[in-house]
Amino acid sequence: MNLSSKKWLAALPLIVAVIGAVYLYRQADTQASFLGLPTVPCLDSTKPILQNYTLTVSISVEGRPYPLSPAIGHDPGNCLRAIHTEDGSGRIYVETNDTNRYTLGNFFQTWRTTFNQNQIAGYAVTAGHTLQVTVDGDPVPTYASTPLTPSSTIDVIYR
Amino acid sequence: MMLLAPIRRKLARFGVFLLAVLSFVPGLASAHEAYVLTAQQFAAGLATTTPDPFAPLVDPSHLPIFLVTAGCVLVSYILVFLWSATKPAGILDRLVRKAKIFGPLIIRLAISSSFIYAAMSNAILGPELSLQALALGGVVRFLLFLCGTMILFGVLTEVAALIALALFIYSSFTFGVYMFTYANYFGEIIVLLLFGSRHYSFDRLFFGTKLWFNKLRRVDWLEIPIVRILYGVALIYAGYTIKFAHQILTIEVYNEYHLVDFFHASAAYIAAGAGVAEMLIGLFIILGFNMRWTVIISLIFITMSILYFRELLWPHLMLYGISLSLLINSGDRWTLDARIVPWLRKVMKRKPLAA
Repeated sequence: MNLSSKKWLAALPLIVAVIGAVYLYRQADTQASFLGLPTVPCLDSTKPILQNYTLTVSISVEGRPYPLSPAIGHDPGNCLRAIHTEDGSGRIYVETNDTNRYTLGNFFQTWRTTFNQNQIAGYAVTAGHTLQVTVDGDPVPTYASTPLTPSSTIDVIYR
Repeated sequence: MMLLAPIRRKLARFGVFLLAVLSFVPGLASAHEAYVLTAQQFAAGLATTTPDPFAPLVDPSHLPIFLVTAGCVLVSYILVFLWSATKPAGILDRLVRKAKIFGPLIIRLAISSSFIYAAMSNAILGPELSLQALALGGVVRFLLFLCGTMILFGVLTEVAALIALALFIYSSFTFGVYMFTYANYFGEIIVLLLFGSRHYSFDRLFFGTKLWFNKLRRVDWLEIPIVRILYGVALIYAGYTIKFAHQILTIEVYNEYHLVDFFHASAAYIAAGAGVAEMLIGLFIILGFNMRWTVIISLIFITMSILYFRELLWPHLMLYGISLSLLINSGDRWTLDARIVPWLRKVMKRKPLAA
């Protein structure tokens, strides 16, 4: 094989690398896990608790309940996040050292699970599927921006 | 007993494959201490300058713990230096150096997997550097994936390094001097740009050992010093920034993770002490001073942090890659070790080590 043929063949792994990059780029948009920095701090025992309330979140996927992890926000190293669960009942505890407004998106990021208007966990909104969020029974268009409010019930419905 | 050459080659190929796979094992999760804060906490912490961060170091009440810690470190360095002048140390050194061609390969695998994981996390180099802060963040994300895959398989490595260099410079317009924290990436990008990657790569298959800038062959010994010095710079900058200039970041981690139960000392003192340690490690790595022992200490710190906080592993892949490479390629001629160890052998009236 002469040198010029070798150099043309060098384009092949480059093409494969470009295809691989495109594939990874598309996968990154629909991955089920949230891989970024935490968006909710750990409770700091040296500071006073300024917000303390609970609410309920339920998730259903194609008519079946999607279980919530009982240890959401219980991170390693003695870190209890400001948004956490204590069991799988759907009751969410919000205890914070600040007065910031937290959202449904913060809850899912604490759970390390993707949630936006097009996806929940590994379920994407494709043809024939919808994703809806209701607060106390009323549909809302805010999805991840839906604020967490005391004693409210948030339903996330994928069908 | 020496292994037969064919078996050694097979083991080496398997080792390379294993390293590549381990770079992508899902679910391996861990964190650097500041990476467990939220982006808002990080930004607020960087905007807050600590007025007198060195005060805890000169507080007389901390003198006993300082003396014990400094004493242990000093004794360990002396003992390791004395050991390094012995015959068994020389034999171990020659054995480890047999793997020296894998040093650059390890760093190449580390940087490629770091790029890919960063892009998956919608960040560049570190999780606190969100691509959402960059204009054309989507384009940067794709280019990170492209650089990662090209460098991973050694395909037109110099071109990938040039793209990565452009991304690094572009990011510095947004993130400013904070990019010094990632000077280790800059060092490896420069090395890949100048010297490419001609071991276990497609570039080797198509271009042989010929470099794109072939005259640089005579200075390819600069590969390790460039990576080493810029890694040290990154450590010093990160140590000073996170643990002195903006000490509130480390103090917040200390309080939120209840580290007082472990250290039984004030947050400010532990932050300052950790800062001194990190900066000294960086300085010793730049100078090449008892480098293997210094790298082992840094690996212990990194691993303890990872095991305790257990968040994201990918920001630390480069640290592990560079550390492993420096363990293998320690004592190049531009290090203090290259002068101290032979001098010690002479003082201890030992024969010079074989080259």
